[in-house]
Amino acid sequence: MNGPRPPLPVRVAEGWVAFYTRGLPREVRDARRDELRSDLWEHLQHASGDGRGRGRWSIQVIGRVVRGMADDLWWRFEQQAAGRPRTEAAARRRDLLAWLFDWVVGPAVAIGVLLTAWLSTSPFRLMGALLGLFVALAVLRMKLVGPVGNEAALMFGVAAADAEPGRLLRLWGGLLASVLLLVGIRAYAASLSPLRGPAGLVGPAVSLASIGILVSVLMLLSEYARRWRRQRRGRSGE
Amino acid sequence: MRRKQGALVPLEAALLAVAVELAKAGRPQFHGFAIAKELREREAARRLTAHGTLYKALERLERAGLLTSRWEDPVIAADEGRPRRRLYQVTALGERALARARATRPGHLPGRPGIADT
Repeated sequence: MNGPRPPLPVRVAEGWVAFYTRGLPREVRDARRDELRSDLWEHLQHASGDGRGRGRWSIQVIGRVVRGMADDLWWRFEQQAAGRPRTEAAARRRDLLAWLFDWVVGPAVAIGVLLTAWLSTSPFRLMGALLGLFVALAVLRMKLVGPVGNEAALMFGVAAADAEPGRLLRLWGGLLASVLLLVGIRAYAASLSPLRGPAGLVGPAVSLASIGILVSVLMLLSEYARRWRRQRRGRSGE
Repeated sequence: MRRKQGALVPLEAALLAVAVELAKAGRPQFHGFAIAKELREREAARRLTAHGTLYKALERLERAGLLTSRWEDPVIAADEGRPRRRLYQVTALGERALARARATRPGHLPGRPGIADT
């Protein structure tokens, strides 16, 4: 490596842009990275010129990175959505996969979670495995079908899998977070749509996330049912 | 809330307003940081627009045909010892979109009111 190490804010900004552009087409990725590099350089020149020094510049750069993170991630979703298959046959294959995931695989996992919770005397091991499977499916769907909404489903799945037996608060937290996330994503996508035209970013893509919410509700109900059965047994044992 | 087809969000309208003013001041082409700086000064804001917000808005304006962009010649950038710039320019469509935005929301955009109508 030659040359001096770039200042910390530059490394943070360039690290972040490298992260969220990873895996995108080369021209898209390089354009965004070059544009940010230029911005950072111009910003530093401006800060050096107005005599307020590097400290203020550092804070401003980090602030601009952090405040723009949500938009950066959304931009990535848009780029990925734009890179979806354009031929009719490819689009049909993608739609079929989406349908299978949303109406066959997802519900099957959700029903499996419910039945396991309801019927088994020691369900949590298997439930954990099923929730893990749900997350894996969310990742797979994201890869095969498209990213928008499924990232939300993935995050939700992780939140749901994190809900341990008896920890209702965490389960509720996962549910609430996922609902807020979905509402936010839908509102954001709706605010973007006029300039993009009817891109159909939201509609079918959220269905797996909806299944995730369903799984959470079912888990919650099963937890209540289990508590109720325990209390009943306790009373009858007295 | 869903916005109307073709409507501009406040940041997009503000970027167009600044771009039009720069063009009228003899600087038709601008790069990302330049417009962020102009926007902060004209709106008397404390902070510069975040990277992600700024470049996503510029890209959307470009996709809608309200701005165009080109990368400057790398030789010029190399001669000046800096990274090359992506230069944006407002289009006639952009000026018309701004005029419509000003008509519907007078007084809510930076710069001199009605500049795009002249």
